[in-house]
Amino acid sequence: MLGKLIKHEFKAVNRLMIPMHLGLILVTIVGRFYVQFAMNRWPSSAVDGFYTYNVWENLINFTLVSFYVIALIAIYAITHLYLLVLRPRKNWFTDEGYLTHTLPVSTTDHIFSKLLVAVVWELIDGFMLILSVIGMFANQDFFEGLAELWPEMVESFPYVFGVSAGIGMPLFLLMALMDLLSSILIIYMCLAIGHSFNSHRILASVGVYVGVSMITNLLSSIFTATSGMNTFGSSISMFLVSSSFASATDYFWRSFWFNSILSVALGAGAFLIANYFMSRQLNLE
Amino acid sequence: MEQLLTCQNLTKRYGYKTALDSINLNVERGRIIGLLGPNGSGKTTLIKLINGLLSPTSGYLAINGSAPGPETKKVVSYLPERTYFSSWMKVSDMLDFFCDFYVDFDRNRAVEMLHRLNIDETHRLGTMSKGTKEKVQLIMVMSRNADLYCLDEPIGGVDPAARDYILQTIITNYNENASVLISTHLISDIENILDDVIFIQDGHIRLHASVDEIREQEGKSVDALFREVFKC
Repeated sequence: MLGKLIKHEFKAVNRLMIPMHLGLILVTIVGRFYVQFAMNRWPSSAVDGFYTYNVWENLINFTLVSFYVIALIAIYAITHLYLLVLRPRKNWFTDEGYLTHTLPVSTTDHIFSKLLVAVVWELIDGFMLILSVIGMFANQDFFEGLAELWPEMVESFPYVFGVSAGIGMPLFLLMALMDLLSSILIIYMCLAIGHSFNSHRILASVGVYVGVSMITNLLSSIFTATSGMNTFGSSISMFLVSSSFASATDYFWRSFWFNSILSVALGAGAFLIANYFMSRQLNLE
Repeated sequence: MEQLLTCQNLTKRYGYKTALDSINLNVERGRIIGLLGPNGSGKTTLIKLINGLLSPTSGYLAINGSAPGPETKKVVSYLPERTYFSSWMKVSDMLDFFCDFYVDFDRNRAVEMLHRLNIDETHRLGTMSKGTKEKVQLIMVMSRNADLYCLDEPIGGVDPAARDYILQTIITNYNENASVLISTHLISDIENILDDVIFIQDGHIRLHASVDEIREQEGKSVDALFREVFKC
């Protein structure tokens, strides 16, 4: 049944996700042609210090770049909001829930199917946004620069993070994935708790989310204070952790384990609570 | 054979409001039962509890001896009083959906009924009228070979001609091992197809009897008795 749920979840979600990301590809291709055209028209060598280019053309370029940036942010925000909040809420807790919850399927399967599809599209979205920016602006210099910088980055990695790039990078990716999973499950939990109320369900869901965020922030503050590290909150913050090289390795592993344990504990707790509220405290209007 | 549906001291409260107050009920197989009562009497709450959309505050409810869960949902076919399909879905999408999830779904039967009511499989639900949506939903629900059909206000929004067809569909589509629980206000329309009636008021069961008994003992129709019992 899990397979069938996943199939139908993709079918429902793809209706929005595929056109939106095809739109992104189209914007990137058209934008790239324009960037190419602009670079040919105004090669950097032509700038002689007196004027660069026509002020109106300058304005148009600025508007186009702003439009592109806004489009990127919008695609990211819509993907995030739709997959993590709107779709599960609609399918589980509004009229559609009358069908969803009368299917001969366990609540666990309902949660896993949505989680898997959301993670897959979140990853696709992330990759495509990055590829779009590279596709839009990258030129030969960028790739040559990257080829030069990469070995340097790998070499200096241990000095900053305390472990080799071969270990650190996969672990950062793993932590990012665990963060993503637990943050999605926390949202499901908040929706499930909020919609067990008899009224003001959206408000209740947001309230639970704020409460949970405060608790996790408190936990990370305690950790930060006791460990002497600068910050914590997501795997990205690992980049900011250590200020002294001497104990970088120690910091890395301490932070890694704290991050991992917190992610797994929060994710598992959120899953169990969401599962309980959706199977035992379900309260469709 | 085991009772199809059993409720023991079943209570459901919403905050301070008691929707069902310690009700006891047994439903046998092979019956068409009218669940009748005024607005807010607890009909929909009972049906939602049977379908696992609500959890009882206390008491016990079982279908074929099991509490509501994935196993009971395989044998209960539920028509809620609202449209539960996504508006982007075509009728053919719904057929696929039901085929995938319900082993007992008879696609041919559904297609036949859709053709009979001139409903095109390629049409989107979002473009249909409220009445047509209700017809489609009822066809889906009645095309399952379930043990228990729970129909919440199945004929409220459709025209009288379609109403007759729907009632005919209900009678012809269930087998002797199945029962149909119909909640409605439109008693006179469905009275002829009912075997039993349950009168429910303020979360209590006022009466559970066969239609024949009512006619013999009370000497009046179910509709007349309802008006008498629930007189305002």
